[in-house]
Amino acid sequence: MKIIVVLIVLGLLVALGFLAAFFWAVKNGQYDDDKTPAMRILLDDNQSITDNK
Amino acid sequence: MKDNKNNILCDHCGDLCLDTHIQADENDFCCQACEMVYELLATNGLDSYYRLNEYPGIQKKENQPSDFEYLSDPEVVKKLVQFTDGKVSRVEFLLPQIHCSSCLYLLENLAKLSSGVRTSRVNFYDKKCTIIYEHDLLSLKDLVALLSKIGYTPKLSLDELNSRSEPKIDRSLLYKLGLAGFSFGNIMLLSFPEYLGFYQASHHFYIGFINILLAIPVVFYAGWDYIRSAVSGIRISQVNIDLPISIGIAVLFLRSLYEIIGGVGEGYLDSLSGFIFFLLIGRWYQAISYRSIDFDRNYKSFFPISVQKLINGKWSSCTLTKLKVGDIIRVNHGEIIPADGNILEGKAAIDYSFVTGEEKLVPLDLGQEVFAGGKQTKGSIKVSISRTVDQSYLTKLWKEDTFSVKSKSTTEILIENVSRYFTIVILLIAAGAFVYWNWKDPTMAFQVVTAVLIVACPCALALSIPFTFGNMLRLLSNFGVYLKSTKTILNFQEISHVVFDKTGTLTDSTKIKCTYEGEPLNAHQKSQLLAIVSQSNHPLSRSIAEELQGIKNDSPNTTAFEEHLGKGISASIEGNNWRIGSPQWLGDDRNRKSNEKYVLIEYNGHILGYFLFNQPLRENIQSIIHDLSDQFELSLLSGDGYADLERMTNLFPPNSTLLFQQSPKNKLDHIQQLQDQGHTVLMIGDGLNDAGALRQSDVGLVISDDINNFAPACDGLIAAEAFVRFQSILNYISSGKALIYTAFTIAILYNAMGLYFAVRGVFSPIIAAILMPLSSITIIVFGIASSHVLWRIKPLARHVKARSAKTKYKLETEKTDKNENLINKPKMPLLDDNHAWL
Repeated sequence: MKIIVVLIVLGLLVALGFLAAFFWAVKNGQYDDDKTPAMRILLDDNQSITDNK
Repeated sequence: MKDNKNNILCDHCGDLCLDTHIQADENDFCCQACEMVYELLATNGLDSYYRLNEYPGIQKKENQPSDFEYLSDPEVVKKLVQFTDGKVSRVEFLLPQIHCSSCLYLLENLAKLSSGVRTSRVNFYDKKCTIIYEHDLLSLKDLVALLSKIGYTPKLSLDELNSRSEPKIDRSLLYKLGLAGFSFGNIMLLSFPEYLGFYQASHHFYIGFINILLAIPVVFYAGWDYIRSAVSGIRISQVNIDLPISIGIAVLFLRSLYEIIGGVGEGYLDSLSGFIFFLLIGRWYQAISYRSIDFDRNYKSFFPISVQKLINGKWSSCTLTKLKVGDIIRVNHGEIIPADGNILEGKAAIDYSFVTGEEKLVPLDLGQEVFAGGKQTKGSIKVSISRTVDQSYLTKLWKEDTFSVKSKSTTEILIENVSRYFTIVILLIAAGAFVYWNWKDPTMAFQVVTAVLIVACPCALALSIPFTFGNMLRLLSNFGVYLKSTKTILNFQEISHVVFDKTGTLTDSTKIKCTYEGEPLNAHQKSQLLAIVSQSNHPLSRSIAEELQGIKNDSPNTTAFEEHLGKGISASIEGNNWRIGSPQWLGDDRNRKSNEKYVLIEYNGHILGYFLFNQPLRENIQSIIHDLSDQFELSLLSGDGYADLERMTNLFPPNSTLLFQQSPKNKLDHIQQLQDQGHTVLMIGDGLNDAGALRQSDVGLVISDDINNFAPACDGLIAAEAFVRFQSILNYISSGKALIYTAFTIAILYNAMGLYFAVRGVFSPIIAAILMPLSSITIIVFGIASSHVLWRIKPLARHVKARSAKTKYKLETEKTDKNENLINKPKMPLLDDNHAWL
């Protein structure tokens, strides 16, 4: 059962990694506007009918 | 594209296509401006704009600023631009016209319209667009001009100029939330096997140690605000709800430390971190309830950024904040006067409706004083400044200290009392338990006391308001009712008296009805009349012009056009002499009823008839007032004269107070009087002239036809379309009290259950770990679910309307009907007592 110690430590490290990633994402401003990206992904790259220059 | 009446609608903005109808590429446009935007978009491959939404275009309004000259001033540029290095600059604009995904599409593809734009990013809910552009290729002025061209004129004002250039976003709540959640989850994960006995004895300490490590940042970082708030509350001998929360945190933490280090038990760190986690969720939820209404805007957002100042004989732009006494500025037609001053040159006709509520134009002579906030309506005038912007009458009205801080509502006081008594009761129970166990079995005493203090979790109390009211705020805002904060909902609960403003509130200022009575006019006469009134900017002329809109404008040549201030207009067309004006001027007083506003039409010396002007009441107002009178006492405070007395007396129930000719200060005083009599006052108004009264009242609401308009000193904004259902809205908000009390009861039940275990000495960490999160979740779910359920069963949800293109479209079709009425059917028969002279 000693393995449980190793597992716990590993598990915590992974979890800490995710926490760090979350902090980084917040700092990067990804959570500042959480509503506009939802609309943005629905817009297509435009392929219009009229000729492009 | 055609509407259901077979009228042709503009494919760009949805407006009716009348005589300026243009066709291009099989599309219809109502005017040159719309067609130009279409062309611009089509040539640059942006026509998905039209595919994403119906009529996505912005209707061109009359008073759009077209002069962006002041943006050439490097000082102004410096203040507006957030960031600049050698090559690029970044600027953030408020674009209130943003309303649909087409707007998002177009604005984020701005780079296709101009090579100077590098990137552009929209924040939809704040209606802001951040643009990075190369300032050598594209100047700020040209950028703004481009935005204006496609219909998204930025709203630039003095307020923006003075605000910090770098936006300050507070992300700490998110960090705390993330940390608390992380710790909560992991501690719980590690602790449950411990409760169920799966660890060997030697491991207990290590697990406990890890738990302590995980819990420390939660207590000292994530939960620190609560402790700090409780401590500062104690310092001023005030007990707020953060005190029992902090006691809970402290006891949980310390007891857990004791148990783990002393090897006595497993500790309660999972309950602790869970407790803090749920509290933070509550705070977060409240923060995101809704955005995009900035209630802290002040008068400065109403003024322009700069004016034309005369310096050494030349006109140049000068920012408003730099104006000094004695400066000479020029105010053009349609512009707001930014500071008090005296008229040096020009014909002044000032519209003070924003300040006093009076629509009448005030003609002023040279040397007379003009006040900030008035709008010049006739040509341009030169003004010599007598008081700086900060010291003008308007600003002083704003800063008056009599505009007090709102007093607390009874419900709010009740909630505070509950928090206070909660602490006291818990301490009493703890003391009682201690005494009992000390006598019965002293070893248990300490354990029981701490258990009691732990279980008495006020977090359920603390969560009920953010989730219940927060959700109510959100649902209301979707409907068009924007309340400032949860405190506003609390204040609503005790309302006993409702005060209405008249002009703009009870009446609909977007629909000045103008009806013609008299000899029917032939098409030729109508087009001549239209030609004349189109040249005048008087609000009554504009109203007549709107009524005659369907007429083809042959543009007959108008000669000898002259506008006589205070009297009327005279002009000649094709040899016909027209005079349009007040009854006194045209010498015909016969129909004079003091309560009606009308202008006579004189054609070649013969009076044909008259236009009657009336501001109609808002839709449904009669039944709204009737319903309100069952529950509340009502008052009317109007800045107008007694002209409308009859109509108002018919509208209001007999025991209401109707006061006219009220100045802003009068209104404020009346409200204060009511409050001194013990009433809780709800005031419904609009415009700056109500600012003092709105602030003084317990709840101040503003009805707005355009929610982006400046809304001073109010606790809430109601969109005009939402106001129609005001009675339902009020019912819904009033149910908030019942919801909170129910939530409190649930919380108390949970506490009672926990206390039962604690006092009997059987309170263990596992019970805490289950009970506390469970109580929090119950409150959260109850708060959200109950506010949703009430929303649906009160007859509101069925009428949720989109507030953009569709509403515009509806108003336009109404106008068509009015046109038909005017042309073909005069309202009253030719011969009766009132019209004997025809």
